Amino acid sequence: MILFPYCEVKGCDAFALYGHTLCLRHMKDRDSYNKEANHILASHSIIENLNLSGLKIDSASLASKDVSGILFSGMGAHHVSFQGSKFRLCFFENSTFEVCDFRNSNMQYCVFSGSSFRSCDFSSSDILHGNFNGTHIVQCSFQNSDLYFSHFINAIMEEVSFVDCNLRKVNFVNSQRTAVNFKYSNFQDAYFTQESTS
Amino acid sequence: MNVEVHFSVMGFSNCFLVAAESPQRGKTTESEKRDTKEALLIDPGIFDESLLMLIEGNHYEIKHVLLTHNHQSHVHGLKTLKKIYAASVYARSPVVEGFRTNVLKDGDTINLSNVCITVIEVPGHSEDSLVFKMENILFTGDAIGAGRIGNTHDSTMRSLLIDTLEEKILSIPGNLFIFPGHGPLSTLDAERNFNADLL
Repeated sequence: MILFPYCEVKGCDAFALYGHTLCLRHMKDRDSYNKEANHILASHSIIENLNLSGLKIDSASLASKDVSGILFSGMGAHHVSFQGSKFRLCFFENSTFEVCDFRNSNMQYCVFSGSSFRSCDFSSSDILHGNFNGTHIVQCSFQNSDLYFSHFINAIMEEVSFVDCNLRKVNFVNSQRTAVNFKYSNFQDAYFTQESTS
Repeated sequence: MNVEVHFSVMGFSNCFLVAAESPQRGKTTESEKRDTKEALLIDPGIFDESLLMLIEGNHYEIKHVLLTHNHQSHVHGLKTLKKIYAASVYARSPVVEGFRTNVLKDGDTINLSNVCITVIEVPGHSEDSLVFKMENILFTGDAIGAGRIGNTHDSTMRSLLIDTLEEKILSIPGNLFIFPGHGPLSTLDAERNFNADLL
């Protein structure tokens, strides 16, 4: 992961967006930026060290990408396939994912805190050291996934499948779970109370 | 500044490689291979083949080691590392694993291998716990991680840790990245909003 140049606006401590000298907050022509960012993702199979914050993607295939060190903060993804993609050291915090396909993906040290997921499929994925704290996850599946050392602290989950998952060191402290299924998973290796983690 | 993460199976901890310059992937000639770049390591919990490959494969040479605190899961790899690299060691404790260190204290600002480092003392998990601020990243050791604060011996130390985190870390303006000693990465905003021990 490489850090990025700062926004040129005096006093602004946010990173400048890829290809620009301004951050998302100070960017006026967001449509052009969004087109550029979408083009970069679509046209490259290996994508490294870019600030693509605030990106909006609709009905696209980003399958089998190798992505590392990317800032996707505040991203909006609707009906996007990330199937088979590899993500490392990526920040997706405060993003929105609707009807997205993450099946067979490999994620290491990725941050999704504060994001919302609706009807997303993470089945058969390796999601190691993932930060899902404060997320809202509805009608999603992590079935047959390795979630080693991922955190779901203060997450709200409704109709979520963790069937046949590796939950070693997974932290669910303070999470709200409605119709969450842990069948065939080693939930005894996960943490559900603050006392169990100490 | 470039940062790479390595998972140490010893104590399930995170070790970080930091360099002012990006790696030289794709270098092929002998002269290019010899052109190594200086780097520093934070918390070598273990020094194994995968960490060696991370360093050498990217043509780095470890010049300095920073320790967030003197616990085995963060320092165990020091002895092996010192056999390979003539690296200087920086920590709050004067001696770690038998090696004399350059002792750091709260407020110190040092420049190592062209990386500017600000030292923040955050006692509680241990008496010698340090947080290192480098540009927009906080390397927090076991002071604070994603959604949790570090374990403490007793309620007094827990109160000390929480007070110090609020005073010195959460009060830092802006949204910095948090690279902790264990578990997932995070951001300052995420910890302000979702940390189970601070809400």
